[in-house]
Formats: sequence, C-alpha cells, structure tokens
Amino acid sequence: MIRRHARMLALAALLPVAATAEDAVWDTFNGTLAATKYSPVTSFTPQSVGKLKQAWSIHTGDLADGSGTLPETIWSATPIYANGLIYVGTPFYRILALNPATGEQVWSFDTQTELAPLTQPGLKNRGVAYWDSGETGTCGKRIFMGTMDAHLFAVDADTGTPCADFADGGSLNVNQWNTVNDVFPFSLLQPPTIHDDTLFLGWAGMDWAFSEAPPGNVLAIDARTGALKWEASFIPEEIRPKTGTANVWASMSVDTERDLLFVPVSSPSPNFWGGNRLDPIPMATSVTALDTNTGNVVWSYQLVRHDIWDYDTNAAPTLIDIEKDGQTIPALIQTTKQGMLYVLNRETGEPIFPVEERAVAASDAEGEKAAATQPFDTWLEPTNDADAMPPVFWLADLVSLGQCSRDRETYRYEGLYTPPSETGTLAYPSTAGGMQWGGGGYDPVNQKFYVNSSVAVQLYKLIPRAEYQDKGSGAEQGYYPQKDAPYGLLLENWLNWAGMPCWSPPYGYLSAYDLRTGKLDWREPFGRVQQWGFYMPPSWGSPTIGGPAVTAGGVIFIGASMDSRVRAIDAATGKELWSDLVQAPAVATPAVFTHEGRDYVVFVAGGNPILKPEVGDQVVAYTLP
Amino acid sequence: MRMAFLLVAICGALACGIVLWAYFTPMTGITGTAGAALAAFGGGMVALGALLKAAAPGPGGFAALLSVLLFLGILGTGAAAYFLMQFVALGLMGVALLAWVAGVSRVARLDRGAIA
Repeated sequence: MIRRHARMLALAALLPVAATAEDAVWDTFNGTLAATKYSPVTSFTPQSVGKLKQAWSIHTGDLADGSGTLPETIWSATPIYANGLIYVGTPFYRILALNPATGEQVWSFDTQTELAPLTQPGLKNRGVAYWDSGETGTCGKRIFMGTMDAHLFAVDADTGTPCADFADGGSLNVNQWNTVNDVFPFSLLQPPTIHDDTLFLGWAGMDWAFSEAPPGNVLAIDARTGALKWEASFIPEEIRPKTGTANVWASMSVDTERDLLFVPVSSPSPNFWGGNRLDPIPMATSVTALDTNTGNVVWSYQLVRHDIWDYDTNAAPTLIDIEKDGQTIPALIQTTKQGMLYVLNRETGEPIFPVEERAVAASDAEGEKAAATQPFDTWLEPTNDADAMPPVFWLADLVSLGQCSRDRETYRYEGLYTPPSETGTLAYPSTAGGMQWGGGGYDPVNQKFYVNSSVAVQLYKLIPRAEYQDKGSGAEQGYYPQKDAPYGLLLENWLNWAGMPCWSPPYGYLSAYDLRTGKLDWREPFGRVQQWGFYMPPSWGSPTIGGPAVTAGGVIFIGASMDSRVRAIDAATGKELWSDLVQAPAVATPAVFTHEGRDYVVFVAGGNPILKPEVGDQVVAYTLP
Repeated sequence: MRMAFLLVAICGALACGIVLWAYFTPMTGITGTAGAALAAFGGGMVALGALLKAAAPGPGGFAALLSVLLFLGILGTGAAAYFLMQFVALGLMGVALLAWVAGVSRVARLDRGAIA
C-alpha cells in the first residue's frame, strides 16, 4: 500500500523545518480560503523579477501521453506550501512531499489507485489539501487527496503514513454516498476545502454522457474520522431521479469569520439539452453560500437560468470588500465561463451593482424551452462581448476559400445564450470559457482584481437520437451522448479545414480591474498560441487554463498559456517582465511563498489537451539570486 | 560565385543542424513538432540546392530554376525559423540570402560578359 522511499531512513534530517512566523505560506489551493491567490511576498517586484533563476526542477515520473496502455495525464495541481514542505498530488494519485529549497523528495505516498479514466478523458489531479489539527503526534497535521474512483486519502504531513483513525485506515470511500442515478463514481479531482476540522468535498462526473446522473452535492467530512457531518444538495429532491449533477467540481472559498462556505455549482444533466429538467432548479449554475456548520443554504444566486451551454460555475468566488456609498460591504466576485464577473454581497447574495435581466434567444430544439431572460452584470466590463462574437478571421477565411464566412451565415448565433440547435449554433464564449477554473487573483491592498480569459468559439450541434453515432470525445470537443435525451451533441472548435480558428485573434487576455471604481485598468493579450511548433504573434494572445498568483511586490505570476511558458507580469501595466519555458502548459495556479527567508514561486507544468496535446510531470521553482 | 553558394550551403546545413537539435532535445519549445521538422528539412534542402548550384554554376534553365528554388527555400526556412523562435537559424538564413544575392549577381555579370 505504501511506497515510502529510502530517504525516510534519515528521519531526523528529513523532518520538515517548521515554517517561521515570518514565512508567507500557500497552504490551500487558492493561496487563501478567500480564494484571493494573493501572496504578501514583496521581493518579487517589476524591477527584480528579471533576475529570477530556476532554483530547482524535478520530474515526478507520473506521466502518460495516451500512446501506451495508460490514458494521458492532465495535471493541474497547485503546489501547497505548508509545514515547511511542498506537497503535490500527481495524476497517478501519489502524494509527494518535497524540500522547498532543493526539490528533493522527502516522502511519497502511493494510493495504488487504478489508473483508469473512469469519468474523465484522462488521468486528472488538481492536488492536495493540508490540515493542521493543532495537536501533536502522528496525523496531527494531515494531507488529503482524492482519486478518480471516489476515495479520499489522509496521510500524516510529516511522514506520509496513512492516518489510521480516518475512515478505513486512512481511506474513505466517498462513493458510499452516491445513491441516486449512480452511473459513475464521485471523482475527487479537486482537493477538499478545509475550515476548522471539516473537509468540504465536491466531485466531478460525466454530465455530458447521461440525462439521469448523480445529483450534485457537497459533503462535509470530519477531518479526523472521515464521518459525514452533513450533505448539501443542489437539485430539488422531487426531480433528482430524472436529471442530475449541478455538482461542485471546482474549488470553494470560505468566509471564516461568518462560517460561510461559497460553492460554485455547475449545470444540470445533460449539458446541452434540458427538456428533462424544465422544472426550476434555482441552485444549478449558481454561486451558493452554505453554513459551514450545518450545510444549510444561506443564499444562492443563479448565474445562468436553465443552463444548456455547459456554463458551469467553475471557480471559487474571491472574497473581497467593496466600498459603496461610504460603506464597506463584505462581497465576493464570481468569475464565469460566459465572461461576466458578478459582485455579490456575501452575507445576502444580493448583487451590489445592478444586474439586468435581458431577453435572450429561444430554442428550436425538440422538447426544449430555453429561459426567456438571463442575468447580465453591468458593473465590470465582461471579459468577452455578450452581444457579438469576434469577426471572421480573414486569413482563415481566405485559406478555406470562404468556409468560415459561409459557416457564420449557416449557423445560429444571436448573442450570448443562443441555444444549441440541430442546424448548429456558434457558442461564444465556448464551454472552455471565458474564464476558467483558475478564477482571478485579488490584491486586497490596492483592491485590484486580475483574471485571465480565453476568446474561443465553438460549434454546438444537436444530433437527433436516430442519427447519433458516438465517436468519442475529449478535451471539450467531440461527441456527447446525452443518453436518454432526444439528441446527442457534436461539439467542435470552430475551425477551417486547415485547423485555423475561424474567429479573429486575440485568443486570450489578462485583465486588471480596479474594484474601487469598477473600471478596467488594462487588458492585454496574454501568452502565445503555438501550432505545429510555430509561435503566433504575441498580439494574438492565447487561450488559457489556470489562474494567476498576485504578489504584494506588484507582480503577477501565471502559466496558463498554450506556449508552455510561465510568466511574470507587471500588475500596474500588464506588460510581460519575465518568462521561462517549461515542459508543458502550466495549467495550475502557481504557489508563492517564503521558505527559510527565501521567496519562491513554484509552478507545476502538467499540460491540458484543451490547450494542446502536450503532457508534463515537471515541478519547477524560481527564486531571486 | 562558387564561394557564395558554398556559404549558402554552410548556412543551410547549420540551420538544419540547429533546428534538428531543437527537434530532438527535450523542452526546447519545439521538441518533436512538425514545424521544426519542416524547418530542418528546409535548411537541408537549401544546403543541398546550394551545393548543386556551386557544382554546376553555368547558365541555363536548370541553373535558373535552382536559383529561384534556392531563394524560396531561404525565405521559407527563414520564415519557419522566425515562427519557431529559432533566431540563430533565422540569422543564418539572413546570411544565406545575402550570399545568394552575391552569387546570383555574379552569375548575371558572367552571363552578360558571355553575351558581349
């Protein structure tokens, strides 16, 4: 069960050096439970980051490109720095503890999980969670990691030894609570969010595959014992048997003062047709606040009515304070795939600034009834235009002898929320966003919010059941069966025959908002598109996955781009200050911390096929000389 | 003239080698990519064409065709190197272009001399 390495023998030397009081930690997925992705580290400044050097780089060996017997790895684990060590989970479901100064492995724990893509197109992992009980002794500090087959493991943070008092010898079968439409396991890809002594767990599934699927919930688990404390569900009980999901697959945030857990709830099943779920599901595709002690819903704000676009709420909301009319309002900012940023009162869920209900296009699909209106935020400029998709790209149109223009005429597009159709609908933003699960980063001192976004158009084509042939899917493209619905779905990026995007660049941006005024400070094309090895011009930007880390020194660190580079960006101007090439797109949010008086930024370069078919197993740390 | 085309051949071979190195070395950003293979092929063809040109410098349709192909090869390989961010290879193609211009000018002068 356990594969601990020989280095464990030198125990005295290897026991972690306790983090000093001055050390800046990154002890949770989003840096802080408020999901700010903010580090108080000040040494990384626009003047200094040009001198960044690689401190160390390791390869975990947990890598597969899908060409052999193993599915490809899709690794998005934000490294955790806590207890004087770096902790990462791998897509082979191993936990590694690393020396932050050298990258040397201190211990590893192998869950021995079957490496099978039970619910996802590849082997996915987004990392681990750290918990300090305040007690001494074995498992006084713990690392938690979930697996695709619905097991949650707890190990001692100092040694990697399983915590015997947690569930079944350190392993909790979370699938025991999968009791309705259990057509797939609760895949635990996102590490739990932890507050006090409770783990909050969401899960991922296959909401594109079935109409009737497990209804989404959040499970509160005792961090010591693995006992279920409470469960919160997001689909009304009476309709759970005929639909499903509205699950929480992304990270969550916590207002520790108010004991509020904020959860991004995804869309119901199936993703692209909702005739089986015309009854109101007010908590689907919402941001919802739960009482951390009871699981009771304190409030819920629906971001998409009757979601038939797979516009899952996909990132933890960031907790902020907003000044309005001379008052400080406890608020949150919720990023979305559809490009809008909602600012809500986090005590009540009420929008702090006007949100308009606007009429949107009707559906012409059999049995479907799209919502007549959708909520449009009016305060912060969206990252993606809600009224118009990017124009047809002249070069792609020329190369395809007008195919792109003909497509534009043929397919439906009537602004954001044009329903999927048999004719084919151009969806903008695409199901990959807009903004992705990395969410945004927030500088609480200067009240600036930074977020990366993609500009991508996809084709949604409903295929009548009699004509549907499943040819597989992956990387947010392909055939989606929607079993028991009258339609399957073909989802494709809108490309010409040569594989060129039919829409004009830029393909991605990094934006900065001033939350004192609601104004956009800057928006710059971010990253570079790379195809067949060729780098496109910087002004084209890149689609991005993975979020930014913001530092007190005025620098933003971010990977996320298609060109496998990690970058430092000037927070004041959006200009690139530094970059380095890594093994694959660094689609995890980096961690920024101080260890033994030295500041580090650590990236995981794991790749994601949504960006390009390149995988990685690299953890790389940078520091100043 | 022969020296000019020999210089083109050296530049092509060096560019080919540089891009091949990037193709086979891990984590160069273009490892194993079709674009790198194409640029390496282009560099190799420039080298081969320039050697042929140096070996058969005389006037005639084939020599003219070779000159044009060589020119296109230098431009294409240079463009590929630019988009692959292989700037040394790009520089080599710049040198190759200058050498090609020198070589072709010399051929033209010789041709004019022969006609006169």
